[in-house]
Amino acid sequence: MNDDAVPRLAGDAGPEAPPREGLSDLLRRVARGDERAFEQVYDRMSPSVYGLVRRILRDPAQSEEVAQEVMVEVWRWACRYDEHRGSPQAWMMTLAHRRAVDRVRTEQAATEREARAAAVGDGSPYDEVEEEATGRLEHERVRRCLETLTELQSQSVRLAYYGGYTYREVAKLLSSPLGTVKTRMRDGLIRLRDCLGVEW
Amino acid sequence: MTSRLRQDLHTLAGAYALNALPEDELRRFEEHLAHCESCVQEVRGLTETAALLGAATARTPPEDLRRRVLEEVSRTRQLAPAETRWAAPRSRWWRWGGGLVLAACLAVVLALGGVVAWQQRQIAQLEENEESIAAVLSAPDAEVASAQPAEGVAVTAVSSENRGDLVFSAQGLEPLSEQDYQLWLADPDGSVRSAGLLRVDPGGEVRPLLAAGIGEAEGIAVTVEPEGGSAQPTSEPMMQMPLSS
Repeated sequence: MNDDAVPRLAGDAGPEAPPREGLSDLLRRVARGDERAFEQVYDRMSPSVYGLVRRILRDPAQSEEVAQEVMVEVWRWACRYDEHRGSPQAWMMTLAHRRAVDRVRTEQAATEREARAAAVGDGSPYDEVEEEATGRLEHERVRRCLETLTELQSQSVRLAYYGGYTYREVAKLLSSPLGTVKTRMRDGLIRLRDCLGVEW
Repeated sequence: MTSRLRQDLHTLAGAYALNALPEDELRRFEEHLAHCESCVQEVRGLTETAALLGAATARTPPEDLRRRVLEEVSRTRQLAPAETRWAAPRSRWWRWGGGLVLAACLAVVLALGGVVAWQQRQIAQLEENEESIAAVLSAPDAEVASAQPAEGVAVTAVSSENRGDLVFSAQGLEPLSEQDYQLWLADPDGSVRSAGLLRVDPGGEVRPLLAAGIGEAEGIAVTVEPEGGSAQPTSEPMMQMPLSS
């Protein structure tokens, strides 16, 4: 694979680039009601949260609304974050993804979703990664790593994560058997994980 | 479960990390997770990976969003509701010794013996209810356990081993939409069974809940579950409390 050719950045901790302890410590303070700490969490995480929600929902007004819900949830639920189970970034992005997908699955009409599917499924494999991303570094790493996936792996992962589709819907959209799509999502993510050097 | 089915469930780890499982399969996979340490590990790594896919979409949010979020935060009370489906290894949460997870959220106070004033107030409320509830409360062997799992939240459990019943009440719980608080009994073998859903009125008062047939249960816990409750907990408890035996 060509990911060896990708320059790994020393101490690369991701786009928000706080040392991992940093955000965890902040969340601990947030859990004790520290609004100053929350402001810092907001400043570090809101671009990722907003970007993901917007990627999934498309509509700017709805995206703002959902991003707001997510950030307020981070405040309310800060004490639920357990650093032994994952990074603060993953915890917050999981919240964001679920919120956005809940919204998309309940509110968006089927026809609209089909149109979205066409947009996600066709074209270059990378059209779903935000062009105007502020997370340039992460953007580039992810783009390069997505290149190492097979077409089916890449489409399965992107339709599910950026499109908000269930794997059953993805199978239908790609006219592939359910079992194949399930497997491609898993081995695609595993390959991405290894390419991105995820340590968990 | 056949190994074929188990294998099948295992391959869902990717779809799970991508949040791409339909509701029914999600429940099944989470039940599977509770018994599969290697799946928990895998889900963890894949969830981190998915989060990086998310971070790659980062874009500057509208300036006004910050002000609105901070404004809402300043008037939003923090609570300890269970999070959504954050890969909770449920086999783990039920270990009294390992209560570290909850340490930041909970300060459990056990009051066995002396019944303090606010407990008596709670019990007075309980007594306005059904006869069977009153019977538990007046049982000669009634034991009272209480806790304050979060700021402003107080819970009381009164159990009678002889009757095999337990009455649970709480105050200050935030009413939920599309979710329910569910009470669980933990048995000595590590299994957990539902003791019913709590009904919270808009003021945060919980209708006393009678759990019959507590048997050998050695503890209780409350989780937040999807509306209508779950067969097994799908999230970590917002409170848990040992029962004296």
